[in-house]
Formats: sequence, C-alpha cells, structure tokens
Amino acid sequence: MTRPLIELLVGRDTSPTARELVTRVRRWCMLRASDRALGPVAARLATSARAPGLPAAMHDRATPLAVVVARDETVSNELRDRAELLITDDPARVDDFGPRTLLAPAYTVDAERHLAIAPFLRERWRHRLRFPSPFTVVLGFPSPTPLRPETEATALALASAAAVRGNATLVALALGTPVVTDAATAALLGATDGHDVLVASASNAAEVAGGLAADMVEAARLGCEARALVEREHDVGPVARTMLTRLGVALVAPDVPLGSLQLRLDELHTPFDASPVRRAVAACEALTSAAVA
Amino acid sequence: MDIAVCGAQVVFTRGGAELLMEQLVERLAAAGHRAELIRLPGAWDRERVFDAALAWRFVPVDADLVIATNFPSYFVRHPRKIVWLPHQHRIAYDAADTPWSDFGLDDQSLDAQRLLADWDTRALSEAERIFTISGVVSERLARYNGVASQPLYHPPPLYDELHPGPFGNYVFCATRLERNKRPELLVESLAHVQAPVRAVVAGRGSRRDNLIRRARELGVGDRVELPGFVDDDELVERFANALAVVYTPHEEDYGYVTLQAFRAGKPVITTADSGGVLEWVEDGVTGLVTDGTPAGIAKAIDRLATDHELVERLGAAARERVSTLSWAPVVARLTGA
Amino acid sequence: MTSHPDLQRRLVNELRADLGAEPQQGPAGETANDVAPHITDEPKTRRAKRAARRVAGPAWHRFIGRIADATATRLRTNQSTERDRLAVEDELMHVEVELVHGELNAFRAAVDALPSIDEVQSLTVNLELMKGELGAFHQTLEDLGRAISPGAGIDGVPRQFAELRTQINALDRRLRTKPGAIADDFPAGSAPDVVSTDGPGFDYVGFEHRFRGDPDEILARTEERYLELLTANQPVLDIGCGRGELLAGLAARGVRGEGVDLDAEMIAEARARGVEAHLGDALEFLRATTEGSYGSICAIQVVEHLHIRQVVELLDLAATRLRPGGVLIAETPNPTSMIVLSRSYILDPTHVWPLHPSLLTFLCERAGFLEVEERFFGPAEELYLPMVDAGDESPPWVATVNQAFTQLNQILFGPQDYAIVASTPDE
Repeated sequence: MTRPLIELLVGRDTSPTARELVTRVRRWCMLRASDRALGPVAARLATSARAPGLPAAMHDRATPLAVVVARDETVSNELRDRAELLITDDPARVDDFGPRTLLAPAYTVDAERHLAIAPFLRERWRHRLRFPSPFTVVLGFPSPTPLRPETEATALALASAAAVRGNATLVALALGTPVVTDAATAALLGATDGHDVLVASASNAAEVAGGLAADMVEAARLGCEARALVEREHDVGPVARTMLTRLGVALVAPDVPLGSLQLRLDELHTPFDASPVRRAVAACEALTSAAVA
Repeated sequence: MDIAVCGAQVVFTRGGAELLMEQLVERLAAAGHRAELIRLPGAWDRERVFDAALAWRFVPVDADLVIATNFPSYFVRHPRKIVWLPHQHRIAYDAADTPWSDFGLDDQSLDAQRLLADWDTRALSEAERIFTISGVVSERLARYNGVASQPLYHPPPLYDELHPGPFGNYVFCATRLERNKRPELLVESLAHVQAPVRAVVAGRGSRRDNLIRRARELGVGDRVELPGFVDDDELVERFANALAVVYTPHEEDYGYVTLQAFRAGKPVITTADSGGVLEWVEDGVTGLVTDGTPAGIAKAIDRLATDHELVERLGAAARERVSTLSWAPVVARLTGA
Repeated sequence: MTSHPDLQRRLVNELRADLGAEPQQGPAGETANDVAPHITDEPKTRRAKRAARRVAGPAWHRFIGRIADATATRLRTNQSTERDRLAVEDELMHVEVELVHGELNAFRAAVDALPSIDEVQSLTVNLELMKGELGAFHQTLEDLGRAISPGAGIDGVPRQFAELRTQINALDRRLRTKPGAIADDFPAGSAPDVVSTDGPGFDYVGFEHRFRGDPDEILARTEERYLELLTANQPVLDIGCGRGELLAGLAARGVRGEGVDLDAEMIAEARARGVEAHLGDALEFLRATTEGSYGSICAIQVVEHLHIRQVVELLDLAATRLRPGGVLIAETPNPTSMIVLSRSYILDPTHVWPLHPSLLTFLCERAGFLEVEERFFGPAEELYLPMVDAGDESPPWVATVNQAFTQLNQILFGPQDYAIVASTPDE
C-alpha cells in the first residue's frame, strides 16, 4: 500500500505549529513541496495563508485543501469559502472562521516520539544503564552540569525528577517526568501547581526536584498527570489525524476491520510503529490476502 | 441494574481471583441486580501479554455498569466502567526480575514493561472509579502507575462458617504450594521449634514434593502433615482446632488465609515482607511478625505454644479485627449506591 | 536495542559523557553471561584410559587392561597428530573470528553514527519545508523585480537602478547650478568665515614648518597611501600641491601630473623641481579646464580649509573634470577621533570646519561619483590605554575592563586621517 501524496504549499516563514503538523502528517503520507510538477495529489496543505501557490490551488476545486493560518495572517473570504479546513492555534479565531476550523495547540511537543516512562521503570533503566540513582536533572535553571540539547531528552527520560523551564519543559512532561518548573512556564502550558507540576522559584527548584525524586508515589502521580496534560493540550497528533480524516485522506477508513483495530490501538495511544501495531497490521494483511485468495 | 463483571481467565487454573469474581456476582445478585461474569482467556508470557488486553478492547458489553477485576479485564471499554483490582500483572511490575517472571531487566523486557505500564495507566484512567482489594494493591498502583485508588476490603470465603475452637497442638497453613507463598519456611522452622507442636500445610501445588523432601532432610517428617486439598468443612475444623496460623508469603496482595485465621480466632505468625498480610497482623496485638528466618518463626511458634494467655488474647483481638467485614458495603460502593 | 527513541544507546553514552561519567563497555550483566562456560580440559588420552579401566571388571582386569593400554597408546599417537591439526585449525579460526569481530564492531560504529529513522524523517520534513520556503522567497524576489523593471524582471534591476541614479544626479546638479539653489541646501552661518591662507597676518609656511612634521615623512606616508591609485589613473591633478613634492615623487616613478596652489613662493619652488604647477585658485583653475582631463584628482589636507560651498563646487567640478572611471582622493583630518579634534585640528587656525566622513561621502554621491569609499589612517596607538593582563586565569572583570578600554581607545585615539576615494561612473 503506497502512502497518499500530499502537496505542501509553503510561505516564506513556517510557523512552529505548521512545522509540527507537517511532521506528524509525514507519518501517514508522502509530502512534496510545490516546487516540482506533481501528478494528482490526495490533498493540499498550505502552511501559511500567504503561500504563493495558494491562489492557483484554490482553483483546483477537485483537490481538498487545508490551510494553516498564522496569528498575524488574514484570511480572504474567497479562501474561507474554498478551503476545507482552516487550522489555527488562536482560540479567539475559532468562532471567526466557523465550523471548518481546527484548533491546534500553540505550544507543542511530539508525544508519539517522547513516550512516557513511569518512575519505577526509570529506576530500572538507570540500574541497567549504570546511571546514578536517584538522578535529578536541572534544565533552564542554574545548573552545575549543563547539558547539550542533543542529550536533554535522554536525561529527562532517565530522570527521577526534573527542575526544568524553557523549551525542554514540554518534552519533560511528555516523557512523564515529575516536573518542577516556575510559575510563568506553568501558566504558559496550562499546568496547575500540585496537580501536573510543582511550581518553585528559580532559587529552590532544584531542591524541590530533589525532594520529589525521593517520593516515588507523588512522582508517579505527577508524571502520569503531566503526560495526560500533554496528550490533552499539547499534542498535534490528534489534530493531524482529524485533519487527514476530514480531508478524506486518512490511511484507514474506520468502517473496515483494520480501521477499527487502528482505532482501538489509537485509543491505547500505541506509539506509531510500535510492535503491536506492526503485529496487528500484519495479522490484518493476512486476513485480507486470505479473503482475496 | 444489569451489571457485567469482567475477569481474565487462565484456563485450567483456579485461584483467589476466580473466587472473588464468583462471590461478587453472587452478592450483586443477592442485592437485586442482574449480574453476569464475562471471562476471556489471557496469556501471561511476555510475548503474548498484550494480546488479551487488545482483545478486551473489542468485546462489546451491553450492560448498565461494568465491574472489571484482574488484568487485563479492565481493558474492556464501557462508558460506566468500575475497576475493582485484585492485583496488577505483578510479574511485569514488582515481581519483574524474579525467578517466576519472564520480565527481566533487559532492553526488550523493559520496553514491554513500559508499554504495559502505559496501557495499564490509560485503561485504568478510563474508569469512573478505581477500587482495589487492599491497601497494598492501592499503594502499588500509586507507586507504579501514579493512579489513585481506594481499597475496598471484602470478607474471605467461608467467612460465615469459620468459628473459633480450642487451641490445639499444631500450627496450620492453607495455601497453594508455590514458590511465592514460601511454604518451606514453616517446614524449616519446625526443626528449631522446642515445643511439641506439629505443622499442617493444606493445599496443592508444585512445591509439594520439595516440601516432603525438605521435611525428611531436616528430620521433622513425622511432625509435618501435608493433607493436600481439603474440603470446606475440614478446612473450617482445621482452622478451629489450630494453635495458630503460620502464613509467610512474599508480598501478598490480600491473603484470605490471614482473614480466615482471624475469623477462626487464631493469631497469625508472618514475616516482615509479607505485604498485605501486614495490614491485618499487628505484632503482639493480632499475631506475631518475625524476621522471616526459620529460627525467628520457630521462636514465635514456641512463644505461642507456651504462653496460653498470650495466644488467647491475640486470638480474641484477631477475631474482633475482622468482625466488621461484610459484602454489603462492598456491593454498595461498587454499584455507586 | 530499546525501541524508545530517547533511550538509544548512542544518546545514553553521549549523556554519560556529558555528565562526566566513564563510558561503559556494555549493559550490566551482559558481558558476564556472554562468556561460554569453560569446558574441562581433560586430555583425551586420559579419558580413554579411564573409560577403558571402568569397562574392565576385576576378572578381566589384566587382559582387558592390557588391550586398553595398547588402545590408549595407539589413540595417543593418532590423537596427538589429530590434536596438532586441530590446534592449527583452531588458531586459524580464532584469527577469523577476531577479524569478523573487528568488522562487526566497525559496522556497529557505522550504524551508531547513522542518523536514526526519526532524524531522517524530520530532515525530510525540513527539506520539503525549506524547498517551499525558498520557492516563496524566489517568488517574492521576482515580484519585486517585475515592479522595478517590468520588462526584464529581477535580472534587469541592477541596470535599471544604475540608470536611475545617473539621471537623479544629473538632475540634482542642474538644479544646484541655478543661483540660490545651493543656499537652501546648506543654511548659511553654520561655518565660520573662510580664512584665507594668502592674506596678511598669519605665517602659514612658518606654522606648517613647525607643526606639520617632517616633510619627507609626510611625503613618504602620502605616497604609501595613494601611489597605486594614482599610478593607475593618470594624469594626476594635485590640488594644493605646495612645493610639488608629491608630483615630483610621482614623476620619478613615471606618473604624469600637474598641480595648482595659491602660494606663489611654493609654486616657484615646485617649478624649480621641474613640476608643472599653476598659481591660482583651484576652483577657478578647474572651471577653466576641459571636461574629462584627468585620471585622478587629489586634495591632500585641503578640504578642511574650504567653506562648504567651495567643497561642494570642488566636488562637482572634480566629478566632471575627471574622465569616466577616474578617481578623486580627498584626505582630511578625521573629526570622529577625539584626539584629532582636541589637538591637531584646532591647532590650525586656517581650518574652516571639520568634515565628518559621512558628510563628505554624501557630498561625493551628490556630486555624481559612483563608488565612494572611506579609508582611515593612523590611529594614535602610542596613546592607547593599556590592556590589563592578569595572566591565564584572570577574573571575569578583566575582560569587561579590557573591552571598555578597547572601546575608549577607538573613540579617543582612533584614526587621525581619512580619505574619501570616489570614482566617476564608467562610460
């Protein structure tokens, strides 16, 4: 089965939301930017309302079109009528755009890449990989051992607890890391002190994280809530899936057996390409080929 | 209300979980509900552990309320799902890397444990309410999955039949003869016991031959009785006439034996690592908690055998301790009444 | 290998290195288990003997024992050759295994160095997005190009701009040649009255002798700065040529040129050196010259002696009297250096007004020069504030102080002269 082909219409600047959306769509579809002659495509995705290819694409009414609208962009009435979907990360514009709007998170992390690891398993991994335990990670706050961006996620995946603010915070939350952060970051990400994160000042964040590392039950609870928060508020995966479905290019239609299996596996948030998915797909392929024979 | 009780089945095996499900269905019916037990077979080896979980996702259950019990029956989908968890899939949690688990600490095992923990958390979080059968199970759920739950204690089987009796000259234990129940400890401790006390270990299991051999090696073969499976009536009498009950499992979830012993007015001798047993056995109040060595257990047996006043005091307190257990509040809370 | 993207062994090892821990050989437990248990190394002959003895019961002991010993002896001979052969093969196989191990490790290292599927995917996405972004930029540029140069698009823009500029400068010049127009550009009264160097009361020659420094040195410096330019653009007109030292030096190198100066005595000296020198006002001289006469015109330390109107006229005249592609060099004290303002500049009472490099550049552009370059010379390095040197392990404030000193040095003791090098458009 070949993947559906989606044409990208790209403007001069790609917003982070659009970038994340495109990355996720890439997992189900092939993507091509509009610089080459393409045959028929399953759909078009414009990453900006100012994308130069957009006017031409609007004339091709046979191909569904989704447009990611950046915060500073205006949308012409023509585009509003023509596009199947308008995607925005600004809740204020949902009403303005009407029922064809899809709301995307403003601050996103790839929840299918940074899979949650429960604190007790972190401990087992640390033991296996011969890491110190407990292991408290400090990122974005003053730290005696600064980390390179490449190893931040790995450190967070192994951490007993983390004092973190800035870009890495969402990664930490997605990994189910027990997180201590500052009030501004918590507010920005919609996290609640004591529920999904602990809020501390810059001066004592590392200390609070150290205390959290020693409290396995509280750490497990926070990690669980943190992951739930990310899946609920900051994951583009569901948006990408909804978008493809509404454009009619979803890989699997829900009314075939494979479709419902996919749905069940989605429900369990099976990581993309994890072994159960492969097994399930293989099993269903066996079924379909048997039926064909 | 139409209530579907869901439980996993290990074909050709019966244990505490089966008793629990059957009892629950019975009690729900007694409370005026239509209740049925739905069971799907599961496999516990690492390679197939996810299969049954996924299968439960597809089971269409038409009922007003679903009460799911053991792993992976709580993967069932229902808008009104209640979970009453007897225990987690322990060989992937606290019992990983033990001789009876095929989940080790290698990469693949840890990957599988991660996926299982993730799925468990997800499926459990869908539930309207989560209960467990004991504080130990709740504590593990909080520690491993970060999921909050409430322990909901229920009376053990034969609760109504069990009764106190005279303190006899044997210590008793009724348990499956498996490694995690550690029946050897009692046999080995007998070699250190000074008082003229015998041991009766009822129940079947794979460790039976080993126990007989061990007793012979230690020269206590004539003081150990292994009656095998005993029927309910005999069990009640064996409890009633015992001096005390020795129950030394490793990290037990709940432990009917403890509750049955208490109901029969017998103190329980246990170890400091017996898990759920310790929710009931308070050292010097309802029983004796030992260090888990044969000598330590022997010392506790000798103490009870020689101090009649002590054994009577502990026995009375033990019976009192379980006097309030009843199915009515369990049914009420599970059905949200 | 784990399937969790964040726990790839490569990343874990990098993290370990970042944390300053020792790199690990392999995951815990694995190395020990990989070693095969040692097989007991009992010689085969002894085993055969023992087996033979076991078979032989007491009754048969002597008879069978003898046969067993004979068999054992034969076996020993056979086996020792066999063993030698096996030993050689074993050795060979060891070598082969080592080789394979080496290759395997190299392969493993190569695989570890490869980007993960994850990275490849994100790179693919980035590539497609960048292609799109580039396309959009290209589109924008094309649009801009078409707005400027409707016929040729973006490729026609440079030519279009050059034409427009020439037109504007021409218009500008025509406007300014109208009487009174220039006064609007430069409000009167902003500069002091011109001090004539040929008037009575001030002995400029004497002043110059005393303060301008060694004439030979000045000449050498000037030649060093401009010789190449002047050689390339002949003939040269030296405005304010004085005693004609520069022109004489140039002539010695075969560079043609002439000069003009207000001072009759100096002109006489210049002529005595064989330099073609004209007595009179530079502006008047230029007005009388035909257009396109010179390859280069230089005015070394001249413009600061002129009133702004004269500067403008000088530049206008220079732009036309130079042939296309010719060069104007105007050197003057650099007023953006404080040491210049506080010392050398105000020392000379014949200076009219300090000329900021940007002003002079602006005026040159307005006069119609195409390329205008500012060249700076001679910072007062001998006056520089010294840097603090606290050795290798200096405290952080040292860097701050040194940075501040560097800035101060720039402002206080920066280049003392600058020259505008402006060229007229090619034909």
